[in-house]
Amino acid sequence: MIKPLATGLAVTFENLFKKPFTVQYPEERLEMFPRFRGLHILARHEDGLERCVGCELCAVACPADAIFVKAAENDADAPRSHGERYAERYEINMLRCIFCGMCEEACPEDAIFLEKDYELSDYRREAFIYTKDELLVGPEKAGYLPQR
Amino acid sequence: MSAKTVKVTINGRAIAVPPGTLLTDAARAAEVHIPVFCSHPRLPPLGACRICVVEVGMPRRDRDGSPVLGADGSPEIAWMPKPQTACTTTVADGMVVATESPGAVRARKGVMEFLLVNHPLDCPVCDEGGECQLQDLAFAFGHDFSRMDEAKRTFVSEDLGPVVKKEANRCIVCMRCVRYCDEIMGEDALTAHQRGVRTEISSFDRQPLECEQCGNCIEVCPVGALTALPYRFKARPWDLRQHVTICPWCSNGCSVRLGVRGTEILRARGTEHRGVNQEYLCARGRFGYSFVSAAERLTGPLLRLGGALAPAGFDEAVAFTASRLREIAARHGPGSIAFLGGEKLTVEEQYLFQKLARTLGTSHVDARTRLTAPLPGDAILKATGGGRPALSLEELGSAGEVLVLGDDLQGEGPFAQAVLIRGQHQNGLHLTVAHPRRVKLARPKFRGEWLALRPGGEVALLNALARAALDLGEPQGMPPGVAAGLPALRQALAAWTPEKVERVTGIEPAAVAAAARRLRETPRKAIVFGRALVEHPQAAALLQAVENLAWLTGALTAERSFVMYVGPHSGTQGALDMGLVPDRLPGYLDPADAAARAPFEKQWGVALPSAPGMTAPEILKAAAGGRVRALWIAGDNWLRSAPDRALAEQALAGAELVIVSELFLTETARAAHVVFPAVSFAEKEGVVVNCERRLQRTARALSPLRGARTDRETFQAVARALGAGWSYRGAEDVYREIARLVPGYRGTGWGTMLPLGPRWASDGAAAVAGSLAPVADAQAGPGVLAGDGLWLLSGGVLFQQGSLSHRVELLQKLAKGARAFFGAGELQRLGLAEGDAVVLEGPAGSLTLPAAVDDSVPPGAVFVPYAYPEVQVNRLGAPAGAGLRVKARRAEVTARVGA
Ligand code: SF4
Ligand code: SF4
Ligand code: SF4
Ligand code: FES
Repeated sequence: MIKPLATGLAVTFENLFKKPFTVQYPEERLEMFPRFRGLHILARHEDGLERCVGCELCAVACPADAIFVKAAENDADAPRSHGERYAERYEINMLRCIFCGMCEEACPEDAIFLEKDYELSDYRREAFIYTKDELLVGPEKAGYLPQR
Repeated sequence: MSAKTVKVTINGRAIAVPPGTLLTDAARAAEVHIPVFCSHPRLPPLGACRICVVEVGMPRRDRDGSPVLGADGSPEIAWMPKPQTACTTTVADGMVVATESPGAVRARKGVMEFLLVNHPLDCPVCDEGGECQLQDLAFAFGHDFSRMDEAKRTFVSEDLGPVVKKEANRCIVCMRCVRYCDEIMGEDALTAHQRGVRTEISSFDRQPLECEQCGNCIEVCPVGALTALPYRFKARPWDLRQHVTICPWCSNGCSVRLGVRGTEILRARGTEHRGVNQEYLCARGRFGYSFVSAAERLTGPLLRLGGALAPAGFDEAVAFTASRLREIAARHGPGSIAFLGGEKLTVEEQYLFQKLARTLGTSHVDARTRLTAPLPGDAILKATGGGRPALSLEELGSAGEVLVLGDDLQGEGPFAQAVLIRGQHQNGLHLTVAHPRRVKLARPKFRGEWLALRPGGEVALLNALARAALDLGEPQGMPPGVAAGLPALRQALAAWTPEKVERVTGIEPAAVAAAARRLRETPRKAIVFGRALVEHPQAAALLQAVENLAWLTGALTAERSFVMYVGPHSGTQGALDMGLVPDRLPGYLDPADAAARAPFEKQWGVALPSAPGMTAPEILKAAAGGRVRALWIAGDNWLRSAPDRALAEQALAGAELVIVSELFLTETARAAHVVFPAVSFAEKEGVVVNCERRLQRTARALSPLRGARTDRETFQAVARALGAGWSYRGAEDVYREIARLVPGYRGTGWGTMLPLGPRWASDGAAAVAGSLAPVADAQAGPGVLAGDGLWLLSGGVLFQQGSLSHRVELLQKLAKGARAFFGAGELQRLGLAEGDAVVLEGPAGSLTLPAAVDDSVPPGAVFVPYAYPEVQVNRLGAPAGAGLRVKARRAEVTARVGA
């Protein structure tokens, strides 16, 4: 009887002196692995134009039907993307998204990526429909492509 | 069809097909897929793209003709040294075809590689992506890499007018667009510039297309070289819910496939393999859907309680309507209530509309609001064979000789026109067009005969044709009842000497005689007429004259009818069939006949009036004169459609109760006391009958606009408020009652109408007995034709078709504003230049329009298309006698035009 007790307590004591496994979120945060799939971003070209052309391949590839895209024609004098077409509306419903990464794989323009951000919480359901404003990276990130 | 067939083996599957079948069609029958780009079922084979290459062989034969057997005892095949294009090769007995042999696969891959040499990789921005045949076939048959790293050839993309976008980089030069536009549209608007790899499709002068803007070139383009500007970047094919329904724009009844995303129709397309039209649609059908989501749609009933129309609840409007109707019926008798319009409704709604009228005890019900003179309700059916199996659009296209009487099919039935043009190109169809203007079908390019009819000469021309046909010998194939009229007719026709006819019609006797001979002697013939005859002041006489001509030339026989009425609206035929006429019950039954009335009285639980009511022109006069106190107008902008606007205004102002069921607050609705909001074709189910009397189901693509009700619901609600026990749960319930009560419709049901409905024909010989009868010309006396002023020619045009097209921005743009068209000589004679404002003065009023030159307009006439919003032709006065004469002069103040 004493032997199993000692074995058990040995484990306890061993762990008592190890470095802790957990992190003190939110004060402390883990660095995500390169291929972690979190909140999406829409990337920009070096010249600042949007990479997305509104082709809707992500939307049709999405197994959760989470993406809505509505394309429109670029104004030739003030284009938003390369080419004639851009996404006038681009929305992802994060409550539907299963973070599978199919959209990223389907995208022929390297425009949509699942990035490291995993802090998705809110009080209203509507807030989970991420619009283009929220997804598109700022101009300072022009040319940025996540490493995979 | 001959029973002879030949045997071919495709990929080891033996099938028997008729000789002359193309390999592509034989393969389809054998359920083997052969890819195609340039081959198209409605176009002759061309062999331009080579994607359909297959290996073809025949059994090897000895000198004595016996097959050579191989080592294993099966016949040895002599393969052709090179692969052949399946779309241009016809079958031969014993032929062996391989589509999956290594040689065929390699050849196909090679062709695909060549097609992709210059094709850009811009699928992500191309509107065809997702439904592109090149994309599909590249995926199925192409390589997944390219050996070509040279620069691709590039062209500048162009907008060819408001509907066609051209991106020539994507073109694979299959020539489908050029061929379709030429052979079926007869427009010849597109061509291929340059040769070889530099070939570029464009208009001849590289300017925006001045064509019918049908967009069929876009439809047949297998790639994204031609795409539709109105649909540009709107959606992907997988976003769209597709609903196949029937086009609301004319009586041809084309099937259209509406693509809906959310609550909006984003495009309309043909259906490729079903419908009377298959891929074809005209500009109205393809680009005219936007009125459905127009912001001005009515979203609730309006009621005039005090001075102005104000929104009201549906129940309130129904209660008000019912109590007012009851009151007026009690005070002035049910004969003081009239029901007008309904040519745009479905069969079920039309049936309920007249049922409501007749239940109220009035027979004053008429859908034919444009009539200028009373016309019996069965006159059109009688002229088209009395219910004998009708001429189909397909038969029309394979006829040998077609006489088009008085109408411009470009506006009235664009698909019928395309059928005739294709027939002329591909089947040697010959056209004879009797029309005052040189309309499209009368152009020299179609190699037909144009009988340049002088306005007012209609009766004379038909009589002359009949006389000439009779001179060719005794007519054949008439039932005895009809033949009995022959002696009297012969005697009456004798008065129509060639000289007299030439004087009245302006057409040479020889041309008349030749036209009659062609019509009589060509084995497959057809006569097509439309509203021009029906809305003519002498309509009754003209329809009898058409019938005479048809019997005498064999276009009508005891068994069949080859006469077609291409009416103005999608529901024109249905309105006649459903008894929206004052003198006929549904199914053309005579209300005076107690036995015919009985089933309706039993079903409806009311006693029906046996006397006929007033026709639309009579109702107009009676209402203006105060004898009709209440009017219900359904789906008809009466102020524009009535033959005399002044009278119609008087009638609306004087009536105690005007009820209007409409989509929009039209001029007529503005004058109403009650306005019920209706729903459009895309929001309701039902049946419509086209000009070949085919019953077709419409489908609901959208849920009804909030607040709007189908006419069925409105009619039922009012009927119930009036104490009738109607309890239809849906349109299908109504149809079941129709199928039980209406003779030609017996045995049909919604289930029998997909994909293509049956064409109704009367059960026995004919629903209405035919006749031959002399036709006098009320107008042909001397003096009538010698009046002064210009003949007013009015008619429909392609881009304008009444009140609905006023709500479609694109059609408005294409129609380019209202103008008065003169021949160049006439304009000069008047001292006017193109663009000058011209005042047209009729007996009752005047119109000011910019003048324009149109060489199709004959001297002494002016052409004013009636359907433009700013044109109110009926302000000029009702056509008296044979037509209307107007005086033209330069406008004093050249300021605002069209006001
Ligand atoms: S990650 Fe997967 S589920 Fe989420 S939007 Fe992309 S494709 Fe859809
Ligand atoms: S729109 Fe119609 S008429 Fe015009 S070019 Fe295309 S096919 Fe020809
Ligand atoms: S534009 Fe389209 S239909 Fe016309 S030739 Fe090119 S690929 Fe063929
Ligand atoms: S489909 Fe046969 S050559 Fe184009």
